[in-house]
Amino acid sequence: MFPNITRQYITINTSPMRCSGDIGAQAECYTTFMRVPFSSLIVAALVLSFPTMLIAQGTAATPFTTTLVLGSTGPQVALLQKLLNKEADTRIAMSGAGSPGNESEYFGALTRAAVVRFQQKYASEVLAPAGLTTGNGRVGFYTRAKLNALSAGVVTVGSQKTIASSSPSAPAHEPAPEDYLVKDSEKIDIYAGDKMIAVVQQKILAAINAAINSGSTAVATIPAIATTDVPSVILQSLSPKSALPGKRITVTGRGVETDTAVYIGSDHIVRTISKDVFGNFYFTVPPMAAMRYDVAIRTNGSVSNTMPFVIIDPRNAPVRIENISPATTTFNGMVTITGSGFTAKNNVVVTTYQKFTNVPSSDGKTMSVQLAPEILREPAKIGDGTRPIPMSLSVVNDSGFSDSEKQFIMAL
Amino acid sequence: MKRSILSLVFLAAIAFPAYSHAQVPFGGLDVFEIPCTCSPFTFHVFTPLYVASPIPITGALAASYTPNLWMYYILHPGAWALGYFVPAAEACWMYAVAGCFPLPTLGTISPFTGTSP
Repeated sequence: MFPNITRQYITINTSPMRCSGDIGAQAECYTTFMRVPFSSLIVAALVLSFPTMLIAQGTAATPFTTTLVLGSTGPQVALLQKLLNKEADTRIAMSGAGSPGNESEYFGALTRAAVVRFQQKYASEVLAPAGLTTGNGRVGFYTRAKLNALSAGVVTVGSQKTIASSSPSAPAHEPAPEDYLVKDSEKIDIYAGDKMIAVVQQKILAAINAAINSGSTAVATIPAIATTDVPSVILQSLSPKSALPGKRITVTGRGVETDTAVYIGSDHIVRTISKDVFGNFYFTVPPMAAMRYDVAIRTNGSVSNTMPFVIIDPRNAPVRIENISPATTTFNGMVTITGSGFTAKNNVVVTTYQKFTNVPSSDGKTMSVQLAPEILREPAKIGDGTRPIPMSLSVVNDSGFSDSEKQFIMAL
Repeated sequence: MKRSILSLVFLAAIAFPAYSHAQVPFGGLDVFEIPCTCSPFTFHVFTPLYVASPIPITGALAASYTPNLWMYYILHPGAWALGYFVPAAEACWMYAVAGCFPLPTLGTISPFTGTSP
């Protein structure tokens, strides 16, 4: 298997083992050997590995070597932005992030829009060979070829061939952002599972509230819940809960199969889930805009509950909660959250018994919510303010999930 | 020698309390939680709920406010739980107009119960 290194020569097995006869019976195998100088082998290895090194690192002639999509990061993205900014009609932004002199290594929505304009501008060289009529914002094979041509002036690959004339083999079709859009036939209410669970909760809560208001001899009868009253498909966890496009997300739950589809928001879909050798189901985050999404899964027409998932933008500040005030609140009481990384709008504040959506934060550091969980409305009416109900609070927004949960008390 | 063995038995009795044999294994998905306003517990409805059997049912269990042994995996709606409960213990009481009343549950969840994130 491994070469036998001697002082100056290496003995290499130059032919694969040749065997005859039935496998497992009397196989006759033999090998042939060649002796070559060790120094020659090193030279040969360097020569053979040189093209690979060029591909891995990019060169002055071909700086773009990998497919770049929304969410990609790295020096090739920065170079892409600089190249796009050279022309007025493909400029990423006139000012601020992405504008000339403010390029970064992050492929965001503005970069994608500029790439679309670039593809439209060079449609005959970029889109037509790929069979496309409109730009998709993905820096694939033909877009890279054009970028490399523009960045180097004259493009050579190998000996003297130009990229356009060589076209060794167009890559297999890789999914573009458009491929993840939900078709009309695939449209569902991703909140259908949540609504089923809410109905069950209402039935149970109604029974409990009736008992609370019926006096000291109250007897609560919890209504029977059939297994068909809750979704047959349950989304239990997404791990990790936030990631860049292209990252692998493990899905756990009930009713997860290889033909399960993952809905990322109402408009995007990953049509099939993969299964690894350990039996874990996973999908790859599509090239989508960095923000918070509600994710549901669908198997055989049944829709699960939703869970929040964030496609992150590494430039965004992480979400942190520093304090909750007051430490003890009441029903209908205001709670102020201080921290950092809160977005101007669309923050979601999740407490143990109540969820708030679209919570604004004018300064990015504070938010306020008025706590009135339906589940505690009736107990609060008869409470004397001395019964402590422990609760926890966390925040999720387009930047990600808060680093921790904070505890506080609601006194009923 | 005899004294050492007796000491060992005594220590084992402390380390492994007697109630452990009374616990019932269960597993299920927590879909609903409500605080028990008259006792330091929370009321959890599980569906599906598997109680020492592969046949799914729906049922309620009470859980102590005290975090379980795995503090980062505290029982909450949306999480699957796997562990034990002590049957027939009326732990969840609700404050009513006059006095408190029990919310019927199958039992009280043991702290030796793990949950998914």
